[in-house]
Amino acid sequence: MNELAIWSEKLVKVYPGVRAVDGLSLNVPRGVAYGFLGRNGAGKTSTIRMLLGLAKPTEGRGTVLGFSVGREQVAILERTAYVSESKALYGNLTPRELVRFTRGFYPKWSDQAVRKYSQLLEIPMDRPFAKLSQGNRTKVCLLLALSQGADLLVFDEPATGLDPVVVDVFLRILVEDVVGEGRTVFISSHQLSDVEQIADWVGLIDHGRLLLEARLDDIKSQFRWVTAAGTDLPQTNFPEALLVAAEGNFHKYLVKKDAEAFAAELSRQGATVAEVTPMSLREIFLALVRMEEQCTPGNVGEIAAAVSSSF
Amino acid sequence: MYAWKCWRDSRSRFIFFLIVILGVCVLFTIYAARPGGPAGFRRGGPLSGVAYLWSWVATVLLQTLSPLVVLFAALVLAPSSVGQEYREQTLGFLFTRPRSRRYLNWTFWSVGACEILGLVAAAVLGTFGALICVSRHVYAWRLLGAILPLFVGALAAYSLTYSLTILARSGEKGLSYGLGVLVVSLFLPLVELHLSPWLWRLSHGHALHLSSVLSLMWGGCGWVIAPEGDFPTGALVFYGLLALAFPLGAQALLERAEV
Amino acid sequence: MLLHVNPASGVPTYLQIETQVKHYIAAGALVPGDALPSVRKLAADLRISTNTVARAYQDLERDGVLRTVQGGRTYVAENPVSFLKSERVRRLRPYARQIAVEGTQLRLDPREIMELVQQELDALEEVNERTGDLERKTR
Repeated sequence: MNELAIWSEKLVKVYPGVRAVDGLSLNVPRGVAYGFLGRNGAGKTSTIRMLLGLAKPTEGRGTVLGFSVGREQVAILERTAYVSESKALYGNLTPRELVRFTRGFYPKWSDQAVRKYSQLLEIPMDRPFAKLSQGNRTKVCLLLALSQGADLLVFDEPATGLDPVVVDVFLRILVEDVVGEGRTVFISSHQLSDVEQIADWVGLIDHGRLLLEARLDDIKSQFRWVTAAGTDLPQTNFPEALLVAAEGNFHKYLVKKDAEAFAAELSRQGATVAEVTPMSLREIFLALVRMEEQCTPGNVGEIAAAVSSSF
Repeated sequence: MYAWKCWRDSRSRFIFFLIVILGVCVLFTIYAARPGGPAGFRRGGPLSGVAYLWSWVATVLLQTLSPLVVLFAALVLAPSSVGQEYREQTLGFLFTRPRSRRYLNWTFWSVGACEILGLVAAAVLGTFGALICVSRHVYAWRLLGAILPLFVGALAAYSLTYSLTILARSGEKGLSYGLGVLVVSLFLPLVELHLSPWLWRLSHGHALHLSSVLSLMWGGCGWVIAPEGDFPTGALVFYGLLALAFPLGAQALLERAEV
Repeated sequence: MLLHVNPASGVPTYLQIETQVKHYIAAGALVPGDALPSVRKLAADLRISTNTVARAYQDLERDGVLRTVQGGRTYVAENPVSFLKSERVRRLRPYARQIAVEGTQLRLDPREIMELVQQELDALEEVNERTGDLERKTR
């Protein structure tokens, strides 16, 4: 628990009429870039708000950097930087004044970082925050988070309003100065390409629960599409393979592990062709989330089981 | 750092009020002291000359000024308070700084309290100084004691409005509600009048007064110059406790708040 | 050394790095003793996580392809291959299987497949010779 940057056990958050987070158990290691992915309304922001003390969990518990959520919240906030989805700061203050306001809270604040990043990100430091464009507002929020000297940086949609060049600069800063220094980055985002670029770990949340939490490398090594053509494609029970589409003789499977073995098995059982192709993060995300939509939560494996038992 | 921000947000309003109050006090005193003016150096009578000037100024000026002070107190910080941050969605930023909500609550409140003390001190010291200049004589150091009832009354009004901005999650709404409550509370002595038989029985024969904030301030200022009758100690303690109770309630609200 | 990785491909990034480094060594673009960029620098340049680069370097070091000295710099190992032949054969087999499968799928006969492999080996040798010539000329 203490070696984890973020840990939670069956976190639940209920709002009137909706179970935003429904038994979430996160395990975010220290010193990695963790991509927290999910659709709108999947529970990403609710989770983050609970971890940071902005909302109280209905059930469950968690720790951040070893400190208990709720009970040791100030200790968590001393070591955690946060950029919210709304990017709202005090409109009447300029970025320079916002820096002055924020630095007083953090003993590990780095003025050098402020100088470096304000230049790299091209931030107009003397214009009131209310008069800044969305992109500039995001940059100011990023600047404050990066200069804090935090052990954990939590970003909720950090790329709002940023052009690709600035995103590139930001990713480089994250890689070199944050992850490269052994600190932890937790990014909640729709921008799958950005997450795929720098994430070591990925957690996919849907309807308030984790569908998947693993190293991105492992996911990419193991998840495969297997397309096979053949009549009466028999298959022995293969729990890691899920039938995703069928058209005529063709069957398409999402295989979470041992795809080669599965394809070989299909070939042995008479498939004329069995292609094994890698999946990008986007494809994995879409497939898993859509599969959740087809079934009721919790029976994701059952389609494949039904297929195999009918033969 | 939060104290700095609170100060910065209310700075211009505070300075404006300060100038207005100082201006009113000084100019009024000078006006009152001119020969042939309302209190200009009368001879004869129970209080003559300087004494009369001082007591006249204390009663008329400071007592009349009280409502203005109360108004300024409520206005000085409440609109930009933590309650206002709900509107601007900056609470998500503020509450993720490493400070307890209790700290934020009391820091904000304290900055306002200091500003109110400043306004009240300016009013009294300004009057005091003007009186000294005009009468070339310190008649009653006791006048400085007016700071206490004025401060406690204003602080209570401020605390009320501050807590209402947090309850209403809005600076403007909190301010309107606060002023509304203050206006209604002015009628407390009337209520007392109607309820006096029951109050008499409740208080077992002791005189129990329901005083509004203003009557505290009036009574206090008047007593300071002409100490006959009772100093409104009860009201002072009551409003003093209220001034601390409101922000305690606000603290409880903030600690439970979900952003 | 310049690398390129495509994070959106289905191939894990650390594998892409390992493959490219091995390719450069096989082609002679990297020779034993050449220094590789530090983990941080390479990660920053590619905008990928330092953990990914570290893993690639560690794997290559475990395979005997790279060597890290005390100070932290990484170099191409002097004897890039230090495994038993049987281990080396075991490692190459999956790729051989892939060629066999692909070739068969594409309806090429075994002779044509072997010819293709030979052509690729010849091309690599040619590149090696050219690099060697270039070095001899510049010395």
